[in-house]
Amino acid sequence: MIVARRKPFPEIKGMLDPYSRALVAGCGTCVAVCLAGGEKEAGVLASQLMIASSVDKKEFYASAATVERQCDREFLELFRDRVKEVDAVVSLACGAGIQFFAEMYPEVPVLPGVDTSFIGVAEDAGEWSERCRSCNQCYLGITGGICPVTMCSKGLLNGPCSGPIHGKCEVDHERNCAWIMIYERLEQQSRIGLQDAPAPPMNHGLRPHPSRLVHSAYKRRFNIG
Amino acid sequence: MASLFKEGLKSGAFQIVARLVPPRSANLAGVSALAASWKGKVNSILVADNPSAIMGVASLVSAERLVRDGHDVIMTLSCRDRNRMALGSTALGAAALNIESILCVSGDHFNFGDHPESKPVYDLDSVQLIGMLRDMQDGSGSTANGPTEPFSFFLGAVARATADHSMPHLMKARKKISDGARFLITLPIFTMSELEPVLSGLSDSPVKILAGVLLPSYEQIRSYQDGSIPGTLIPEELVRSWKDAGEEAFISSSAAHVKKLVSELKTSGRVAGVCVSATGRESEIEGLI
Ligand code: SF4
Ligand code: SF4
Repeated sequence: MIVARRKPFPEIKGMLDPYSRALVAGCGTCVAVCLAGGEKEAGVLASQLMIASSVDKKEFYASAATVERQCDREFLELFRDRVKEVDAVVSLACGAGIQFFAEMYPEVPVLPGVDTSFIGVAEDAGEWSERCRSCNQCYLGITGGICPVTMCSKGLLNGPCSGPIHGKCEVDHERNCAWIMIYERLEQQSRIGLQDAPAPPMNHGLRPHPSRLVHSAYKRRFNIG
Repeated sequence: MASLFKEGLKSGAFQIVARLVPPRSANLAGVSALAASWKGKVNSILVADNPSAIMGVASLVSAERLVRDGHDVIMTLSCRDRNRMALGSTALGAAALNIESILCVSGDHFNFGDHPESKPVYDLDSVQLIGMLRDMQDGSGSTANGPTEPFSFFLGAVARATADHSMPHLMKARKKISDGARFLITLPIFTMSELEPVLSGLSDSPVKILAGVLLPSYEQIRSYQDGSIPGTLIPEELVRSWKDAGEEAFISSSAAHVKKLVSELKTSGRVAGVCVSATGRESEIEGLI
């Protein structure tokens, strides 16, 4: 899932300074799971903003609404009436959702309420960690299911740098060196031979920005049917 | 101009390499003077490339000055700061300036250095850099038009010695060799026995192995803990005795230790040479060899 963190309150409040009626728009998927921008967080932020404005004696009104996903036009459509009532929106979706919101409602400023951090997993209660940098040419088949692009601080594709100390990464001594983990995993599975040949350089041509993916069979069926 | 270092390794003569860190100012007078003090005592000078991610004069520029001064050089080329385009063009520039020996490294992470907010590049890793430079020589690789005049690189890489997880490091060293590395310089060792894993692990390979040795600064020792010097593990007893010694005693005992190690390496017949680094103490190098 996409992991994000709520922006600090003073930053959000600062962005809203010029406005008097705001919609706090939550997203019920990834950012809800990582407690940054789901229904609950949207409600809390709206109340915080109301309290702060009354302390500041500023005329201001904030309300909250949440849809299942902001990365889908169908769900964003549900905001249409609410957007008409406000002069600014704070979206708590990931960066993709915020942009899609802004694209659908160009008449109103859409402000980011979170910093989008990474694609990751839930390690523990309240703890997430990155796992994939969407390189669009997955190497996991030859690296024992451990991503060298993400889990190695240098994204090296052929083995450890000279830096790991006692199995820990030279960049962060709390974290295991990805390449020592890869080696040990492959060895445990008797697949270390997969690493005999050097991996060629990554093909950055496969990850242009912005990327686009077309599923032509689905598109055909959808358009006909 | 053929690399004297390459010829020396081929002849089997024990090679002495001194590592030089380019200055953090726009003045190469000190580089020239230091190299001049090594003249006749070292076979080649290894020019570092923003080591420990601390910004200094470009390795290519410093190496060119040394070539002009009449020294044999090995230029370090780090993947940390350049994408493949910049790596290739820097290497072509080196070839144009008669610099043949290139040490290909991934590069210490920016976290260690003076610009921790930089974007780490690592478009290639050291294995891929070696492979790209090897292919560039005959035009089969990314210089698609092929070189109009032939040129050659003498390619090397770093190898981690020490018993600390030696197998993954050996795996990578083998890839470096298979992609074209002809010499390897180990990260600093402090006792002969630390070389064992890399020497026995690569005994079936024709690659020439030089042992890296380090004359540390007092500051490095005072603040030393495992991991504080990139890729370098100093044996516990040695750290303890150096820490306890006080600055003056440390300076002389560390120099004596490194000098003894260099002479052991020379007589051992097990390595092709030695590469001496001395953080901030480069002027002492000539006394160690
Ligand atoms: S190799 Fe890593 S970054 Fe690339 S797709 Fe696979 S998991 Fe993601
Ligand atoms: S120590 Fe391991 S994980 Fe860290 S940068 Fe080096 S190879 Fe990558």
